[in-house]
Amino acid sequence: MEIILDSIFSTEFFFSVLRVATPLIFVSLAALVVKNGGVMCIAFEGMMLFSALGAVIGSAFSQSRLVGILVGLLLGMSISAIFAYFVLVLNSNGVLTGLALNILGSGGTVFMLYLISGDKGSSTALKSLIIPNVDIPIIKDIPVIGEILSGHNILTYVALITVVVVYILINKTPLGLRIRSVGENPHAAESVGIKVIKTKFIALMIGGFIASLGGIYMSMGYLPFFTRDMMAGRGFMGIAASNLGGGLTIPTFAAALLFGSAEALSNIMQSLRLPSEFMQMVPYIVTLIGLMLVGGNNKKLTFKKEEKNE
Amino acid sequence: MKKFGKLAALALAATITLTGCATPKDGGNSSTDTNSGKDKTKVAVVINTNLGDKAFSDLVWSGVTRAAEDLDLEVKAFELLGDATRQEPTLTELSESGEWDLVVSGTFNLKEATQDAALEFPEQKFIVYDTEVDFAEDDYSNVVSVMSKQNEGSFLAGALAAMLTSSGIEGTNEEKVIGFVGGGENSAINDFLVGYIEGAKYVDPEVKVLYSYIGDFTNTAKGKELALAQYQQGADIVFAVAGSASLGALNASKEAGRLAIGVDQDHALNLEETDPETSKHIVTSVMKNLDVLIYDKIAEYVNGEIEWGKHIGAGLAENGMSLADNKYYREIVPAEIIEKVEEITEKVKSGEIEVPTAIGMSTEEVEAIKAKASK
Repeated sequence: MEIILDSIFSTEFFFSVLRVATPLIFVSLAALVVKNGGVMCIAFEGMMLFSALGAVIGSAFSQSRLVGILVGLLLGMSISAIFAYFVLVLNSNGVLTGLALNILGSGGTVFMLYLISGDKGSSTALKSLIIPNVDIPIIKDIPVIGEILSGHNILTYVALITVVVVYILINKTPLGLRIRSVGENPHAAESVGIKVIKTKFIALMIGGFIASLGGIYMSMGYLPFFTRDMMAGRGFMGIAASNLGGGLTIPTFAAALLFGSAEALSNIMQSLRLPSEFMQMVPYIVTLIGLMLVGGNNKKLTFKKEEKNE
Repeated sequence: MKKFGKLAALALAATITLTGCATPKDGGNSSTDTNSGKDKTKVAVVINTNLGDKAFSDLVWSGVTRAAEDLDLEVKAFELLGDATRQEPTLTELSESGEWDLVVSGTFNLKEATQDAALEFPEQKFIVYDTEVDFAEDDYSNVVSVMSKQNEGSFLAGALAAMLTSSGIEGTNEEKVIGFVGGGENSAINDFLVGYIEGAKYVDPEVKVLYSYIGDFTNTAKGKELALAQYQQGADIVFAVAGSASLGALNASKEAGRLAIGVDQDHALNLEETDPETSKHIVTSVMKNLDVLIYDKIAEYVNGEIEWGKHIGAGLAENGMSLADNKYYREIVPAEIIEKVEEITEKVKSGEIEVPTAIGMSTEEVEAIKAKASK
């Protein structure tokens, strides 16, 4: 028991929470923007796989980080553009389209990887670049807090900044208002002259941009290479976090951190000889419990609304 | 305009599907020699997953292609892409056609389908790799199976890690703790773990072995986290047995400034060109020499020396397993430890040390060995 507490109440543990949570923060924010726009999108897994691979290929061939990031964003956002085209223009089923794009992400990335590097498992044959970790001046000298907050990957800080940016975008800008209104009631929005499809398209592209950053973090920050199916469900956990946060920025961020902590906890506890199957379940159990609580709350809210209406 | 959009979407979909069917540059379904060769021995190789994985399947294929070159054979690979519904039709078709002198098929997943085909077509000859055919249960006089004893290779890794943890070399700490990160909890991975624990305890009963499972073989980032968690808990050397997710654990060794052991292929040499820093932390890799085993069996077949109806479990003595002996191994490991590892290798070869195997072991027995790990 003592070892467990020692492991949890250490700066390394809290440091690892941020590291583990970074991709979840990105995806959950992406899902949040899209959700606010009233679109049900589950294609984040595919977007992240493509952006992760794009970042590796781009940086390996150009030997420039910027090109890597741009290629990653381009590939990831092209998946969200395809999704947007099918769902918004061709009116296809969002869940099925998302599912198809996730499968395309899993198989398509391996196929691309094979064409380019002759390898089907990982990109270790390509000399891709990484985005470095940085120490933050002043903060790094504060005991405890410095050890937890300083020394992360640049993209981890980008994720934290993205939280603020998304908060302002959704709550304080005209575009955010338009996105929320088409999500809340597209007919009402249309009646006051908002272009519904265009706004939803913009929301999806912003979502694709943020999710792609998460993918790039996976292959240029968290790890220095791409491996097949490396997202391993993170896209879906991000969607769950945005649902848990009820489509609000700060609660969504908190939910992503919660999932990150659960994951980090399960990693530490496993080698302390708790049953591995149980520890692998922890992050998902936390997700389920969270969703149950939120589900209960939502029900109460709708009840209240209905009562008022009567 | 709308129509054009639909056409464009259709064209896109068609391109994706069709390019998916394109024949890969090498490997794939291509035969090494298609022209003439009436008298050439023809060998069909069934691969459960796909070629080009830079690991298990490529290892099998490299043994076959080397045999094809040296012995002038015609060989062809049939990739099942992990699709279980293709197993029986492929094996039946290959056997039924009578076109192939030899069918090479393997892994535990393909065992049943291959056994069925062998019973149905007693004239067809089979070489089965990486699993043991149930010779006691039926008449498989047209089959021979070969398998590497991963527990023996893993035993050496455990012994090496246990010696390194108290050797005081760079990357190690005071505590006598070593780590193990497995892919999923199955009998093959547990066979590695059992060998590793036994090896460590053989050298020094005080050494603690931490072990975690990723739960799959693709979550590379989790492989990294688990290894980092073990380093944080005092492990100075982690053995990663998790397919491509092992790469995450190897990456962790560089980040934590500790040591790691790879599996299946020589990871240090593989990463040397693109990531030399990581190579410096990879002490060695436990390699299955399945290519050699398959090569030998094919050669025996061609020379008419093969003994049918037998299983060959190739451990250290039969050169079925070995530790990667490269310049990193020589640089990192002190000479006296290298000597000791060689001593232990000889003892395992001669049978003086018997390494238990998790294959065929009951769950309780495996748990009993695991329980020793943390003592």
